[in-house]
Amino acid sequence: MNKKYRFLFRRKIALLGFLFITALIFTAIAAPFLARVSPLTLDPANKLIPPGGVALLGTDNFGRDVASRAIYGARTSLVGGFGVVVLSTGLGVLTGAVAGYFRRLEPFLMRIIDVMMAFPPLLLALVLVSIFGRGMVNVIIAVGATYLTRTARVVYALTLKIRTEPYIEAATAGGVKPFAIVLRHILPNMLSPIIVQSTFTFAFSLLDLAALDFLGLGIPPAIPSWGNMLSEGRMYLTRAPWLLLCPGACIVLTVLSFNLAGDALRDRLDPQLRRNIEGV
Amino acid sequence: MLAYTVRRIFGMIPSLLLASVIVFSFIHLIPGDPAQMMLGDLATPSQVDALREAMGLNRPFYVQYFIWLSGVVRGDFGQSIFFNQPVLSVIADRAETSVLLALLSITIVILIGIPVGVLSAIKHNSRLDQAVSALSMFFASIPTFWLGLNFMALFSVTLGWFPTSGFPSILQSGDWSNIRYLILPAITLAAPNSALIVRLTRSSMLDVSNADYVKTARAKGLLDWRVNMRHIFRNSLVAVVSALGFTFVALVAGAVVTETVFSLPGVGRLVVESLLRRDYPTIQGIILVVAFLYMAINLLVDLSFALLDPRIRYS
Repeated sequence: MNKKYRFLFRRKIALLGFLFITALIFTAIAAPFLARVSPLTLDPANKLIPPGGVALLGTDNFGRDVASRAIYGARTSLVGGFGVVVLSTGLGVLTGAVAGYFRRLEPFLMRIIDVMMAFPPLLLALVLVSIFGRGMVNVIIAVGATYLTRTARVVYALTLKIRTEPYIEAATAGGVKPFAIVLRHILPNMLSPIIVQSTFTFAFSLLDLAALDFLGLGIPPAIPSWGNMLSEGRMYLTRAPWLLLCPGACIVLTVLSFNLAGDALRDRLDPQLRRNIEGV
Repeated sequence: MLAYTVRRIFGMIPSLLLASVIVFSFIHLIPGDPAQMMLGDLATPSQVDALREAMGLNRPFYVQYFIWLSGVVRGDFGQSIFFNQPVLSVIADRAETSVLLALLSITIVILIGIPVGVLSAIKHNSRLDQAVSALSMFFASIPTFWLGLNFMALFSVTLGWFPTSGFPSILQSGDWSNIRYLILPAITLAAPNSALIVRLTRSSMLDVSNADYVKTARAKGLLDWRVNMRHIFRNSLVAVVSALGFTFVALVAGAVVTETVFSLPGVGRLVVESLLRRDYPTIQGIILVVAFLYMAINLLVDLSFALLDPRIRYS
């Protein structure tokens, strides 16, 4: 085994997390082949059937197949989480690095970031979705915008530390342009913390994405997502508990896996990070 | 200390102004006509005109902002479109539930999070520590609303220990036994936040336990519990207390979800209802109050550092 990847196996539980994520990605890609019936097919004759019989994991109040919806839900969750990570990391790194390196912009940018921290992310995301309307892209923008503050603060702190390093001084003395210094000398040196932070962002954003769906301000109800399944299943808490069990377990296992992965990556890539990044 | 406090209070003003600009611009992010959107498709053109006039939407942005701000400073957050009442009184009507829920939850978070975190750090790498780490990560990964629904199914519906939903006011009825309506929601809301505080307490205890003065204390033969409590715990408290500001934000977000699950008449549910009704003046008021409370709590947290850690002196 390559030494680089041995850390995956030192903690078996972390390995389980990585395996689950791999399986989830596979499920999301192969959804049309894994799902027995379409997640959108309505079958009023077979509604609220318990797991076992006609459908492996039962059917919901419209007679839709719970297993199929859960499988397609993996797709929705991964696309949503990935979108949030790309957006929040991209904007967060840009804001943090610019504020940390170009000190003249710092008071302004970091003040905005600090003020943004005063708004609970979920609250802000709810408002943005209600203004721009339900839909995958809008939800990703809303949650991504609220998560960029965390990344920005981590990147800002690291930029302040790195910019005093001798090699930055050398590059400056050698006449390298400021933007090139940020891009080629500062950012590559904080790649590990950014990767760790992104993993935790993925985990937490999945909880917020599910909460938006649950509150009726996420992606449209017809699209299969675990949050939407819980939102509809809520009415059948006692009559059809399987409607809550399956999507809930999917969310918990996925978020747990990303948290475990984040922990393992943090321990591996940079144990000193604990101070800067408190994931869970 | 007093001078520092006064300076910090004045230091909040620019942040609050910035927060108010952000909150105010929400309404202006609405594509098209905000008045039409808030009233819905059934509104007559004259109703829309009236609202536009009442909210001053016909004037330039900065004029609207200053009119709104001058009201906010005097405690006038505008009119709720749905209730046709001042926003602040709509919030005040819902405050009892949310304040009680928050107080109960934060009590649970502190009573569970800190002792368990301390124990886990003292017994570092033991079976207990591993179990605590696993459990805390598990609870940090559960969606609040799902946990709440499961609690409701188990403890209210199946076992019948608690009422399923709602909360009759204690202030109006004077009946403190109504607090039982809030127990399950408070535990639900506290669970993920306790998990975070457990992890934070544990890791900051472990950080401090490597310090030289801890080695000295042990070397001179102090009892274990004395080193753990007086040397390690006291020094790690600063990190834990500073997390309470973030805990407040997490509680607010959690309350939005928890109050919806348990149908509690609180501010959190008011947020969701107002958003679905497009009652944006109410939303603006709530968010501004939350931002203000967050800044005030952070100020208190910073000031408490001087009490917790004699090395920190504010002048």
